Amino acid sequence: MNIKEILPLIATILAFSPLTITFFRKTNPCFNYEMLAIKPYLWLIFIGAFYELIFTSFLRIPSAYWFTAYTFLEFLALWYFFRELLGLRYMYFFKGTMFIVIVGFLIILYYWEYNIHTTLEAYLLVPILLFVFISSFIWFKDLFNKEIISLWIIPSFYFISGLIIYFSGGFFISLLYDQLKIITGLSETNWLVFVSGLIIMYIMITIGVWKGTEKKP
Amino acid sequence: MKGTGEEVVSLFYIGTAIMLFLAFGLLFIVVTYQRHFFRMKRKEAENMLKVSLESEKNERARIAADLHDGVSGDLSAIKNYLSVLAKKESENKEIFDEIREGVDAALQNTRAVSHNLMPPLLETEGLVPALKGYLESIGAKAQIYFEVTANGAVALPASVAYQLFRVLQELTTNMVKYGNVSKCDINIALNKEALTIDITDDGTPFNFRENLAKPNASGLKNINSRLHAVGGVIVQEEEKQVGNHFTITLKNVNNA
Repeated sequence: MNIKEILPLIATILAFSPLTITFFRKTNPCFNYEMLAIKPYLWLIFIGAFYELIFTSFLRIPSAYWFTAYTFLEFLALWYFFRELLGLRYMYFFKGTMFIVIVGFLIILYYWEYNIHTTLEAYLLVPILLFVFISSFIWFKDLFNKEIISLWIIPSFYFISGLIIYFSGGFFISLLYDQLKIITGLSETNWLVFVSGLIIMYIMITIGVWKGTEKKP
Repeated sequence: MKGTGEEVVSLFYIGTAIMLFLAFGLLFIVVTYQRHFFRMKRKEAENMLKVSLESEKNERARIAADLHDGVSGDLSAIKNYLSVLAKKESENKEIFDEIREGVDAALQNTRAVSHNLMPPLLETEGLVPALKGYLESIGAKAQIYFEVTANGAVALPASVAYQLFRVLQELTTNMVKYGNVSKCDINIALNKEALTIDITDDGTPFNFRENLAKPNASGLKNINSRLHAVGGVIVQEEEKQVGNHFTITLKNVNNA
């Protein structure tokens, strides 16, 4: 096995860990709403990893449709996470983002073709990336106005840090994947950058889930 | 074609590097700023705690002085008048004697409260004599043998001595109330700038940290706050089958 196979396998295995932790540990009451907010995303990455492992790795079924659907589902899960986290004060921002992404998703579906699906998903990634960055910024801003506690004990800090790193690292590879594949044939090597970001995010989310839960009595 | 390929690869690497730089930069700024803010708030809380403890000390001293000079003085005067009256009114001697005993008891209680609020020896003689006097008094009542030893004269700033006295008072009160203690050794050692106080007893073992986390542990929290205010820490040595051993350490005593 070479690095191109090992890293995706590590990422897939790590994707199972956050949700699995919640089965064996109970939610810390102090972080109840954060843990409830991240639950859909945890389920999504769990199901995503399961799909990739069974359908993509073993059955070798093309996952282009799944990737497109996953991008949209990922947005929905993150939209829910940030909306729960930031509350109703930013409702216009959330409604606006939802509208833009739904319109973008419908356009992508209209123009969808197997050969260009990665580029189309990358276009959808632009508003999602902006949404994650702006929401994270608002969360940090709000946090400093509240009672000061150490960032290292807040599960959401790990979730948000992981998301920022993942989206930042994966943006250009998603955007240029098709060009890299056609022109240089190096897309798989460069794809490892995306997978590395994914691994970092899963580790951060796992730490966050661990911090947000406690040993069952 | 080769040139275009290189451009795409360069764009990918430069773009990803910039994005990651922004991401890590943002996280770095947030963590640094929050740490700075956290320290600032903690410093503010520490200052408030110091001010509040200092005010408490001053208020205790004022009430103790008022009790000693005011109420005690008045009771002494009443006692003297009663003695004079008792001599003149020989018929009601028994009643006068009873009143005098009552006034005596009130006088003693007032003195005890006054001393408890602010031990007079603490200001004049320092921590060790004040502690010895206090423990002698409670030891006799609770049947506990307290032994206080010190390496020479332990000269401490008044505010530090006062907080340490309160900490030791809290610890020994706990021993009397819940500790089932018969003997307790307190060793105070001042070396250069650091002060170490070892407290050893033979009572029921208890875990300081675990009890501190309980919501009703106001006494233990008080100990922690007072020590924190003077830059001290309390450490429980290894838990034993019988007895407890605590070490209080204060570095930079003179700057506390």
